[in-house]
Amino acid sequence: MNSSTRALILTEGVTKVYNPRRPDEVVAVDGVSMHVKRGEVVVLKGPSGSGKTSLLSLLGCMSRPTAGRIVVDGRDVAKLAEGVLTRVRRQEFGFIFQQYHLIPDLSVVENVLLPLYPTGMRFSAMEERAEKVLSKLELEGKRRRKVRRLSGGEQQRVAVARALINEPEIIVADEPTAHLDRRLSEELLHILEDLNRDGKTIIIATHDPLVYEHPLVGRVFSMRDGRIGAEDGS
Amino acid sequence: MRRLKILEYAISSLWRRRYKNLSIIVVFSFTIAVLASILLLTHSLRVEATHILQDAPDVVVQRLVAGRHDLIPTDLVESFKEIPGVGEVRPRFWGYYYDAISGANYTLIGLDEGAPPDLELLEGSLPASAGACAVGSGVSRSRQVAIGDELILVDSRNIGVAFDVVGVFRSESDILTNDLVVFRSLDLVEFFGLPEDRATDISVQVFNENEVATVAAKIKRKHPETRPITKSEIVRTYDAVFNWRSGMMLTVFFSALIAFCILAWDKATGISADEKMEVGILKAIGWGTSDILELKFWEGFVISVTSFLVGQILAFVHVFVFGASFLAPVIKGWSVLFPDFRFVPYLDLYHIFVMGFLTVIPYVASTIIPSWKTAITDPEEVMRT
Repeated sequence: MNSSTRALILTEGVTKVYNPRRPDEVVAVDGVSMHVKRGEVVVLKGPSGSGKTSLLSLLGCMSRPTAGRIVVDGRDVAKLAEGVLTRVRRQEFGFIFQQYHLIPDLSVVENVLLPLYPTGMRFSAMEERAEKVLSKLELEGKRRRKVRRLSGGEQQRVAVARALINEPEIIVADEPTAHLDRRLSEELLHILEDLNRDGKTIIIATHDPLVYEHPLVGRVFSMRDGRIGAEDGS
Repeated sequence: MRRLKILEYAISSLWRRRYKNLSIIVVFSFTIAVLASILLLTHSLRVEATHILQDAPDVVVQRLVAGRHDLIPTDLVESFKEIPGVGEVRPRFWGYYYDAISGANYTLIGLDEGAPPDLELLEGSLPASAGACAVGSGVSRSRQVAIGDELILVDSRNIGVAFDVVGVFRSESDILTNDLVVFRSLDLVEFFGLPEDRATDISVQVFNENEVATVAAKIKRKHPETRPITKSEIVRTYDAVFNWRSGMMLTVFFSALIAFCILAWDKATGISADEKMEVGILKAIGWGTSDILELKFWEGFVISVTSFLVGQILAFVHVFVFGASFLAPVIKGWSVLFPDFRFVPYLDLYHIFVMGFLTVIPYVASTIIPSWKTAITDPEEVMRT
């Protein structure tokens, strides 16, 4: 069995072009082939504009490639209907964004429950799951507090809680420590370590050495101009 | 459950932008209230007019002099009776009276002693003796007179004449009796100083309603100086007058509605960066295009239906509680005074449906369509922009 068949996520010659055939055309990802195995922690590192976030979006099914193939758990993403892709995104992935991307006027628990709204899950079951996640991230005491009133670190933990509420197999994190100080960054890495220990596959885009040099990380892919360079390994 | 959760989120989303949404609801409700008021008022006036005309004579014959309405000789009554198919023929005595005290126009009618009264809505009694009168509720209110009081009016010789009020029409709804003062015909003739052999017009009943037009034509042929007006012509005139007035008003206010829709469209197409980001976030965390569209549908639906209901209730209260005080002067026109006039409340499902169709659906569409453009875009692209 080769690495491709064992891979949870596999990309083959993936390219992403923004504004194609226009003067402002940008090739953000250029022929990337890689794979991510189940349960591993992978980092995409590189300077700003190197294409990490774009590749992360492709791996997380948030956008479709202009060319190439992305296979998630055996399913070719490019061939999936919109509805199926949404379901894959909802069931398989949990996203932690650089800017957190929370709804500031909603409470902690409301933000955390958002991914469950379209699932049709019973309210009591939703509450039960929220309790579990908030407790894991030590946010039980702040469940009714508006997100905008929380500190940066707390907001980051809410974002992690939201990413976990659907019990996804893959966590995708874009520059998760960009707005955190060293202590909070270490705290976050500790949380990610716990999640990995629980069997979650984690893909992180970052240029923070604290992250890509952390023992948690299995493999590091360096990116430049939309291409993957050397695999740093661990 | 899924639908309920999305509806819940839509309501919380509207609440988060409550000041903006409230201002839209206020403007939208006002526009709908004005449009609905016009429709309710016009319809009520037509219903009232039709109700009155049920008891109207089949033909009213006036005399024309130089194209203007003039008094008609009473001896024509016998001539009309000779026409085959004609039933009862009666001279009618009536006129208008401007009352400087209340600043109102009253309609004064003379009642034949032998004639059966068409006016049924009476408290007290009809005038049976000289110097007695019955008044409409509008007159009663504006002159503050009741049964047993005296109503003083100034006659054609500029002399104040006191009449004993023996009856008050209790009609709150009836256009006809509201500004009415009823006397015995002889009193009215004397009050206006009419020549003895003249009447204001002559009413003609026809046995067979299919022959009304034929009888009217025969009257015209026999007496070319007269103008026979059939009941159906009066109904058509009422319809045309109210339709014309309401049409004018509706044109003006539909323009306002269209302007509002353009604004709403502009608001919706110019979906704010925050809203776009929210759509991107929701998509990224697992909401589908259909979920986003459902969310936006509920947002638009809640705003437009709330505005629609508020607008309809405001219109109902305006027309049926406050007597359409803002619109009535425009719709009802100049010739008749309706002090503190009230209509009979009604709900017309057809009107409600049409109004709903013309207001709720365009607004919901103007909310959904631009959001759809955002919702079908990849979440990463939405969040990037």
